[in-house]
Amino acid sequence: MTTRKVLPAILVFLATAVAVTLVTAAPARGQLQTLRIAIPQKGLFDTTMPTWIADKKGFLKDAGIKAEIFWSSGGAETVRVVTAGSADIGLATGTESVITAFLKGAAVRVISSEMTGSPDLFWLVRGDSPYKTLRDLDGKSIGFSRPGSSTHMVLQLAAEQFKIKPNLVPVGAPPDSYTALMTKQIEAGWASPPTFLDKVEKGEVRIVFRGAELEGVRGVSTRVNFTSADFYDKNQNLVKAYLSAIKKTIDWMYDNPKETVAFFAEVNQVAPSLAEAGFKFFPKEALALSPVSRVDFSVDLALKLKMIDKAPTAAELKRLIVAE
Amino acid sequence: MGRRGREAAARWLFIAALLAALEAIVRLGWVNRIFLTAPSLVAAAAWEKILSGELPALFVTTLFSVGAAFALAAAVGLPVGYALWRFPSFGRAYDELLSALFASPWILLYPIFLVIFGRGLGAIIAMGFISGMIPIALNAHQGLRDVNPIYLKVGTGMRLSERQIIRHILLPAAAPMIVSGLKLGVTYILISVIAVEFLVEIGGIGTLASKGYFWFNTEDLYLGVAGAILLSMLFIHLLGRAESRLFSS
Repeated sequence: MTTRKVLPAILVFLATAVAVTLVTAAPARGQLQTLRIAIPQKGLFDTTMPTWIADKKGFLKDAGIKAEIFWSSGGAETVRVVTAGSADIGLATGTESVITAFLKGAAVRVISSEMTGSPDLFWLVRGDSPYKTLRDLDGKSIGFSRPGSSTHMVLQLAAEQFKIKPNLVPVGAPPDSYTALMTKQIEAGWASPPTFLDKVEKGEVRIVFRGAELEGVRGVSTRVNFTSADFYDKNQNLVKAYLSAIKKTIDWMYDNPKETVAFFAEVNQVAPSLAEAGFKFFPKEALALSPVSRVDFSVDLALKLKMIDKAPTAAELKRLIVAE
Repeated sequence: MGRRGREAAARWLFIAALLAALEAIVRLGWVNRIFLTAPSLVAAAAWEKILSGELPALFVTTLFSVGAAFALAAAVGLPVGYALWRFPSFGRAYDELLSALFASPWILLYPIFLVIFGRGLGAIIAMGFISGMIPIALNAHQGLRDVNPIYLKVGTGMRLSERQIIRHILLPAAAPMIVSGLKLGVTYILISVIAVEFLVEIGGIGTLASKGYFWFNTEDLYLGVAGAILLSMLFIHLLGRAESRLFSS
């Protein structure tokens, strides 16, 4: 008699408990994992657009990722932010910088290439300048951002390629470079799309050299994406999911150039025509995430710039570069 | 051991304890060496750079920039301070403005200075001059305002010339404030010079710190910081000696 009364109550209780568990478990299965991403130089096409568009178009969400974006000034700052654990992934950092940081004690792991070659950089002269090509600038002052940066590397290699000896001047970011150029402190200054392409269009400045002309860095992973060793060890699947979403986004960007240009124009608040001109600087293969290629070039560069005293061993490089 | 000796011992003991703690933290691996490094490694890097002549050259460059900016700031700031006091309507018009400028972050204007003075020591000295001149002028003005008017009346009653009043009444009475202004000025000049050196990578020990930061040479970064502290101590010490000599005479 008692069992007859109690049994249905137990069954109802168990059914309710199971239902409640299922209902509360459902959102957990669909819950997004937060990924804190440090992106250098907001607005630059290769650094910003893949992750930005992946977020806007829902590719990151499809991969189970909720992106938290931090903007950084790049290079050493990005490495320190990731090493300190303030960000999970650092994007678009000079390969030689990451190698240097690794050899000097930063436990980082390179998860993919970010930029192959240097098609994004270009050098400008004033509209009334007598100089037509980089070759004409032998012995003249040419600006780059700061020692050890990709602009410094490209300029040094360009000087070697064209057999010229310019006076290399560290001028800082594109706005500083442009100011130095227009006030005649330097004869040529650097920029990256879409910065100052409107001035080129108006004839106020002229492009005398594009990074794409540089033979030495073709096929070199000049910038890489990286994470801390600790984060990578604990979140390999999340890292893979992020890279997969970014690869999908890059495919989408080049399949849908008009929409990509619209996003690029929106981020930089420039006219679509200008964004389109900037987009043309970036062939799809330059944004390939793999392979991380010709690391020996970056090692040699770091040695040449005296950023490191000795080259990393094969074992050290294997530990550093975990990219597929 | 005298009182001064005990004070010095306490000061150096604290510094030694701090350095020992830093050394231990780094050696035990409690902190990543791209953020913090051991004082012994900084000392070793300093020794290497002294032998190669790099560090003395950087020190001389920064010393020259700070010295030139300080000389200019004192040469302009002291007469400006006097003029603010001597012509009260001028003082009322510009004192507040100068105080407001003193609180402004001048460092943000470095690109303009680079445009005007070029990418060289000229821009660094000009920024240092502005940063140092304002506190020197303001303190000189305040010091002169605080001079007891009775002294001036006595001087006038004794038929002293303006030059004699300045020499024998105003300067001795306002000297403590003026020297405070000079000390403040040199501090701001040092901060400005090293900050601009760091930002534009031109010049002395600020450039060393900048390269250290961007190339992950943490020893160089802290060597730059230690160099700035040493220079600050040197200038403050020299001003202190000048002050005591002035007052003892």
